[in-house]
Amino acid sequence: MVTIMQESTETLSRTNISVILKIDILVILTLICMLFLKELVLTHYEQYIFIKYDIKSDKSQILNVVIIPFLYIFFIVLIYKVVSAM
Amino acid sequence: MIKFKKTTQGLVKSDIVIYLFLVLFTLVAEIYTVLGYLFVCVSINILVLIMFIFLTFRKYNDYAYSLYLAITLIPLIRIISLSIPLTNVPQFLVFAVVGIPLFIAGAIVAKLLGLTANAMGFKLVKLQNQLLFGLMGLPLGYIEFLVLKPSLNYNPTPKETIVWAAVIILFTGLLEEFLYRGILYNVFSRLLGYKKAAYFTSILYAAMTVSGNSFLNTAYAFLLSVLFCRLFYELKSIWGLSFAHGLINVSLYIICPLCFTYL
Repeated sequence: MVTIMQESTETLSRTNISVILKIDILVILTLICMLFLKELVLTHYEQYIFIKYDIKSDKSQILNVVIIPFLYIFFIVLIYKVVSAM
Repeated sequence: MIKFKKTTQGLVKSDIVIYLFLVLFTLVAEIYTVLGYLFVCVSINILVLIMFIFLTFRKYNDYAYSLYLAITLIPLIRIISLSIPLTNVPQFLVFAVVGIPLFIAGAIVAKLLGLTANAMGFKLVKLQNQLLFGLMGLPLGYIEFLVLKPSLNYNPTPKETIVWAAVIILFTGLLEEFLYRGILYNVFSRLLGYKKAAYFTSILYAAMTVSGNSFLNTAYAFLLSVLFCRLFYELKSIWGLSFAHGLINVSLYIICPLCFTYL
């Protein structure tokens, strides 16, 4: 009764299919887009000083739901690439 | 039971349709995983994730905001589990490596929704009942073992076995109860009532098990999820459920393969 990792997905992840199929690049590109989007959102709300601070903060934090896990993936992929290159 | 930042009235038809689309996309993505088209599966999940982030922005002042924000966790689960390379990771730490970012994402969602630790069930009440229910995980895990029959790929040392069991309880039991019962069921029950919420949460939970490639396992996961939602509503605590959920998986992945594989 596990949804985060099935036996099939674990087997595939163990063969580094994400690196072979360039899934890691797709995730990192999404991360870059999200970081740009966050900057855009913050810049956009900077113009409206009448908007409450907590609304600005909440809206930018919505993107953190994606950004932080994807940053984690980025670092794991980076470590994997460094280790496999040594 | 729950304190949300926003007042909620219920869902409108379009929200239900969007939910059904999510279930459909999740099923399609999981089927692609079974067929081995991982790039397609991850692409679908990334598209769904971006769509729900967009919807969360659009519905910021709407009652459906909490639903869309909570649902972003579903595609995130599969993206993370498929995109992390695990070659150099020891078997007993796999769930921890995948689970850490999901814990963080869940915590961010809970904070944004204004869900308190108490509302998510992080409180100790009726300890004996919770412990007793937790122990039910062992026979429930045996039933799932009969359905899935997973094999033990390597021989862990006794020390590794203990760490592995702890990791499974923490990163499958506690994590999944936190995500599905603590956040999703909480949000659904606020919007739809606790009975319908159990089915809505369980359909999503079962859809995520389709990549296990067993119809019986998916049906079993659905039924267990409905039971867990009901017990969460009754017990108002997540600890007993997490222990039961963790023991189901310990039984499935460690105890039963060690005891019954060579019989």
